[in-house]
Amino acid sequence: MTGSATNEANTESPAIQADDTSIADPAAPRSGWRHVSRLTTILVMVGTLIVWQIVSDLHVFPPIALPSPIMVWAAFTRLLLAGYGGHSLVGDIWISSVRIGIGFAGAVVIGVPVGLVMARINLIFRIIDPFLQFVRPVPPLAYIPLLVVWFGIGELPKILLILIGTIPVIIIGTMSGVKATPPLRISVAKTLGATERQIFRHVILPSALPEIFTAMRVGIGVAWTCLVAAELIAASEGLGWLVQYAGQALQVAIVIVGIIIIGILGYAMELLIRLVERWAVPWHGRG
Amino acid sequence: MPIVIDHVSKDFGAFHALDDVSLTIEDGTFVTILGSSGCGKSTLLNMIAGLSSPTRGRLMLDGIKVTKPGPDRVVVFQQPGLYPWLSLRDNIAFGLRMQSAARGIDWRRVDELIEIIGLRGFEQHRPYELSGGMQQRVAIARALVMAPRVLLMDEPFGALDAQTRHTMQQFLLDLWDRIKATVVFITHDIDEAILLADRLVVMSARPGQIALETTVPLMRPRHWDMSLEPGFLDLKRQAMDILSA
Ligand SMILES: Nc1ncnc2c1ncn2[C@@H]1O[C@H](COP(=O)(O)OP(=O)(O)OP(=O)(O)O)[C@@H](O)[C@H]1O
Ligand SMILES: [Mg+2]
Repeated sequence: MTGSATNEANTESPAIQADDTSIADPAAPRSGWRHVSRLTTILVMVGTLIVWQIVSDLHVFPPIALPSPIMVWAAFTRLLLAGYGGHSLVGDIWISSVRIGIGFAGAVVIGVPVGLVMARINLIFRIIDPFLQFVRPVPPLAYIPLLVVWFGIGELPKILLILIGTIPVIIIGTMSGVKATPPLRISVAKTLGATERQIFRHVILPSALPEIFTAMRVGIGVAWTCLVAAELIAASEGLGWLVQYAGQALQVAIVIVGIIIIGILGYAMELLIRLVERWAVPWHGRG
Repeated sequence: MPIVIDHVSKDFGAFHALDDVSLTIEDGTFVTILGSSGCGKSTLLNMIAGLSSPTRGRLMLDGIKVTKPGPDRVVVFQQPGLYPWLSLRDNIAFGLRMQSAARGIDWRRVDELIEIIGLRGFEQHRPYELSGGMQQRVAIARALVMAPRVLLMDEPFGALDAQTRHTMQQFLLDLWDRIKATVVFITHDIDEAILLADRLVVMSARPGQIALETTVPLMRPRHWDMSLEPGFLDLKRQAMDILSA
C-alpha cells in the first residue's frame, strides 16, 4: 500500500534525515531516496493536472463533459461559499460524517463483542456463522432497494446498510484475532495461576487487538462505500446525494469536486484509525 | 514431601513419547534433565506443570496428585512469552495480579526482583524494547515473584546466543545461591546440564526413558571454569555415551 509508505515517511523528522545525509552512513542513501520518491509523487500529481488542463483547453471533449482543473477549482469555491441545490457543502460533509460515525461505531460496538463470544462459545458460533456466511458474499448495495421499501429514505436505512456491510468484517477480524493468540502466552498465564476468565480478559483480548484494528481499517472503507452508495440512490442530502444531484443537472465540475472530497474523507478516516491504532497497540508488529 | 514421578508414561496416539519414568525430586535441589531433541523432556516437564496429564502412572507434589497448572509450579519456557502491552514491571507482577486483584500487589517484592535481575531503570520499558537475554531474565523474575514450590525451566537459554547464554548461566547460578529453590531445568546442552545441577538426569530417546540419574560432584558456588575439573569431565563422558547411543 502506497498509503502506509507515505505515512511512515511523514513521521520521520526531516531534521534528522538532513543530519543523516551530512554524515556518510548507510542510512544516507535511503533517506535521500525518500526525498526523490516524494518528489516523484508531487511531480506526477502536478503533471496530471497540467495534462488535464491542456486536454480540456484543446476542447478534445466538450467542456461540459470534461471541465478543466481551473473550472473545478472555481466550482469548489462557489460550492463552499454558496452551496448547491439548497444545501451548503459543509452541511453535506457534516451529514455524511454523522451517518458514517454512527454506523461505523455501531458496527464496532456490536461486532467486536459478537466476534469475541463467537470465538469462545461454539454454540453461538454455530448459530451466527450461517448468517455471516450468507451476508458476506452479497454486495451490500443489493440491500438498498429492500431497505428503502422497508424504511424509506431517512437516516435508518443508511445506518443499517453500513451495519450490514461492516459488521461481518469486524466480527471475522475479531474472531481471527482471538484464534491467533500465541499458545505460549496462554500457557504462561495458566502456569501463573490465571483462571479461564482472567486468561480471556488479560491475555486473549489484548492479543486480539491488533487484528481488530486491522479489521476496523478495512471496515471503515467498506462503511464509506456503503454510505456513499446509499446516498447516491436514496437521499436528499450528503456527499453521495450531491454527486448524484449535480450529475443529473450535468454539473460535471461539481461532480468531480464531490468525488475528490469523498476520496479525501475516506483516506482521512483510515488515517484516523491508524492514529488510534498506533496509540492503542504500540506493540503491533513488534510483539 | 518432594515431587514424585511415579511410573509415568505418555502416549500421543500410537506414539510412545515417555515410557515408565520414575523420579523423585527433593526439596531445594537443582535438577537438570538432559536429553537429545525429541526425547520427551518437554513432555515430562509439561506434566509436572499440569499442562498435560500422563497416560499411565501419576505425578505427586507434596503427596497431592498434580491435575492442573498452578502458581506453585511456574514454568519458564524457551521463549520469554512476555506480554507486549505490559511494562516490564507489570509483566513481573502479572501472576500476583491474577492471584490477588482484591488484596493488592506487594510491589516491594516486584521491585526487589527487578533489582535482583539487574534491570533497575527499565521498569517502564515494554518487552520489545529489551534484548533477548533481558527478556528471559524478566520471564524468570515473573516466575520467581510467585515464590513457587518448584521452578520449572524448559530450555530457558536455548534461544540465546552463546555469549548471552554464558552470562545467563552465571546469573542463574548466583541467583540460585541466594534462593536455593527447587528447580527442574531442561536442556540438551551437556555443559549447561552439569554446571547448573545438584542432580543430573540423562534421558535416552524413543521411547523417552531415564538412562542415568546421579549427583554432580562439584562444589558451590559454581563457576564456568569448573567445567575443566576431572569430576565434570567424567560425568560429561558418561552423558555423551548415552546421548550418542
Ligand atoms: N502434542 C503432541 N502430539 C503428538 N506428538 C507429540 C506432541 N508433543 C510431543 N510429541 C512428540 O513427542 C516427542 C517428545 O516431544 P518433546 O517436545 O517432549 O521433546 P523434547 O525432548 O522437549 O525435544 P526438544 O529438545 O526438541 O524440545 C517428540 O517426538 C514429539 O514429536
Ligand atoms: Mg522441548
